[in-house]
Amino acid sequence: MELDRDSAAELLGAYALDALDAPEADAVERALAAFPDLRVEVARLGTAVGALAAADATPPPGTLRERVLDVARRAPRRPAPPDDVIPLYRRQVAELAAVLDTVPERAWSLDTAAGWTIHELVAHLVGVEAYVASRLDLGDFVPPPGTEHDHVGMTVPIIDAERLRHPSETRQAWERSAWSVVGLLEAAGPDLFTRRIDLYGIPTSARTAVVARMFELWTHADDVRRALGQPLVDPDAERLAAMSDVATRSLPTGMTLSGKARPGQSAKVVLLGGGGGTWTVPLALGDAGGPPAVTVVADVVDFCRVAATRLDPASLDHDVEGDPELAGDVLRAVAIFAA
Amino acid sequence: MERRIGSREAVLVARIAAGDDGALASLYDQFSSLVHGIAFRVTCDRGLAEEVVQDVFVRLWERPGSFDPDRGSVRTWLATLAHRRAVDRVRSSERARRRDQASAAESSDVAAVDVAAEGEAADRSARLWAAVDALPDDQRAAVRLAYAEGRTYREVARILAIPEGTAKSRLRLALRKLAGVLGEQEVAWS
Repeated sequence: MELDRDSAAELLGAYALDALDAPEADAVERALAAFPDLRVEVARLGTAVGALAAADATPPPGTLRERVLDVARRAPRRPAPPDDVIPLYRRQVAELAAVLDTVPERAWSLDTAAGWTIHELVAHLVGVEAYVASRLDLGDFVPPPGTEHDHVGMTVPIIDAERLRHPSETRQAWERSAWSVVGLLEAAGPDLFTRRIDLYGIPTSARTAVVARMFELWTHADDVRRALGQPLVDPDAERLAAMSDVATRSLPTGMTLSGKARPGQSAKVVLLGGGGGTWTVPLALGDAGGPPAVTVVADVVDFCRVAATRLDPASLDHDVEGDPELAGDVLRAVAIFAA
Repeated sequence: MERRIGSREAVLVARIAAGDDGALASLYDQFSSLVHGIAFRVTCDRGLAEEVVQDVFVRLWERPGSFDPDRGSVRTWLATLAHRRAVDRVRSSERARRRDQASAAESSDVAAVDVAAEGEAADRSARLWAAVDALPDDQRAAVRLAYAEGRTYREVARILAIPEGTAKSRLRLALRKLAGVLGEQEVAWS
């Protein structure tokens, strides 16, 4: 059945009280979708019904609580981030390339939050592409002696050389090497991800290395947008799922490297929004953890910006349950991920 | 900076969407009495009322995205959901038929309520039930049949021996008055 606006309006009281049979209720819902003013009324009538209900409140038997929570615990719904992150990485490369397309000729010398001009930032990325390819046995870049573990230092000679070239050449050099790394990754396929590699002296999985790169390219795309006065762009939920997963799982390392390790304890991290999730992570490297000593709740994009050191933990809008000092340590440890 | 994560209640629902069962436990502790009270009021059956409580909170866990913070509070949403689920149970259970016989005489006499609801919600509720008592008899009876017994407006019409159109408009009129009592801004009803 279909209802015109007035006939639907007549039924709103009965609708709010669930006093319609199913076909009529469906017809009212279709009318609500079509007429916003009816939605306003139904929300108001619903508030009255809800308030009537408050007087009836009686606690259910205590045993029901565990039963309900058990059902919930048995049905975790957060989809795991995809194993094959190469398509996500490809998307991230394309996004940065598109941002660089918008840089006007005179803007290459603008400063960025990365501490370089846009031109230098792209030159740095030329070096990073070469290094990462070599770590995956897909290239033959050798860092200058003494900079093997220094993400920035190893790219300094490349930045110096690129400064002498026109920015558009640097930009083309980055894009060429970035796409060639994407092509090599695609050719190697997800089998690559079973490998352990050494990245800046830290043993890690090849998959984590690709996600870390995605993090870096997203962050630098935003650095360029910020320098140009463009609005920042949130990654899609799939990329956020991969990035937030890697960032939270790096927490034990971060706590240990920052000297704040808490053996036997865990933190629960709840990240809100598409690509978020809930993690309970040990607070020391190689530790099994324990019951959460603190729960930190934040927006997933903000949290990733903290991990990328583009948002100060002190400015992060977040909720804490448990030890507030520990929450601060946790957020500062997350930022070690980028460093 | 801009508050990105929303009001306390909205954050709890968003945490559920992120898979945090601790947030479900918090909302259960806060609203299970409300949900159970409605369910028991409508079903008059302990077993069915518990099933409704489980249904409502498991649905909250599985489909938190169906809560829209722009369309009302978590309290109203859960109350609405509880009432709907309880009505579904009653309509599909044999009780409905059994109860039909006992119905008309006592149905319009739902006892005034003396249960512990807390704070502002209790205050609103008390004001509202007082307002229900102040409704004209015909409207009061219609609301009570629909709210407390889960009757459809057609059943309300039959029990009160009035035309169906009258039952519809009484329910709408009565709820508009009650919504007005809640002290929210008056809306120019079309």
